[in-house]
Amino acid sequence: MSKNDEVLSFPVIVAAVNGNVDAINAVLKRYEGYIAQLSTRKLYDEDGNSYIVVDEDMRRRLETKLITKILKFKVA
Amino acid sequence: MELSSSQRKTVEHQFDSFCKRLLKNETRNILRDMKNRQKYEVLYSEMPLGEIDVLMTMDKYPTDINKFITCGFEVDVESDLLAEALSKLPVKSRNILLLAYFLDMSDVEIAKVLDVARSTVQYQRSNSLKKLKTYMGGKTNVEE
Repeated sequence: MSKNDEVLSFPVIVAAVNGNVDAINAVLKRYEGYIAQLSTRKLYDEDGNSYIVVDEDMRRRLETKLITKILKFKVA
Repeated sequence: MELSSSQRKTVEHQFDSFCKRLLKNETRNILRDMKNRQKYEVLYSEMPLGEIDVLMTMDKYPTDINKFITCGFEVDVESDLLAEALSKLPVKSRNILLLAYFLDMSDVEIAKVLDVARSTVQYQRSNSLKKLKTYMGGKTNVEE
């Protein structure tokens, strides 16, 4: 995890903002864990048992939002 | 666009916080959306019977509809009971009833079409209604 905690390097950020697919994938990979953490929800089945699962719909929505917003980031 | 290494470092961290912030905000939006939707969403299996009936529709087939032709107009009558009673009425009475209640024409308009006095239309209309009532024998669709 320690490697994943580092911030993304400057060239990757510039490439991602300019729409480079590989760079955007790198960004998604970097925040994969955070997105999973945010979209983790407690769900209940009909018997009242609770499950802690990653809400796939929510995960996709967050991913999509990240991709669309990356392109709007202004590199100083 | 030449940035010094410390400036690059700043941008890296700005980007990091930018991403984290937007993800956090979007999470809040999603949760709020879900909460709002939950107010209106009902499981189909848990719906009360009365509400399910509202969603139900019956298919309509052209063969189920009884057609009458009056003064060149085509009139569809859905109720079988009503259609049967109407077909037993004399043609004149039936025409007036169809024009008045199915085509929403006023007595004056009907009088013009049939070329009779307005009062005649009014008299025949109320008379026909009475006849229709006796033909149907007080039966309605509800009691059927």
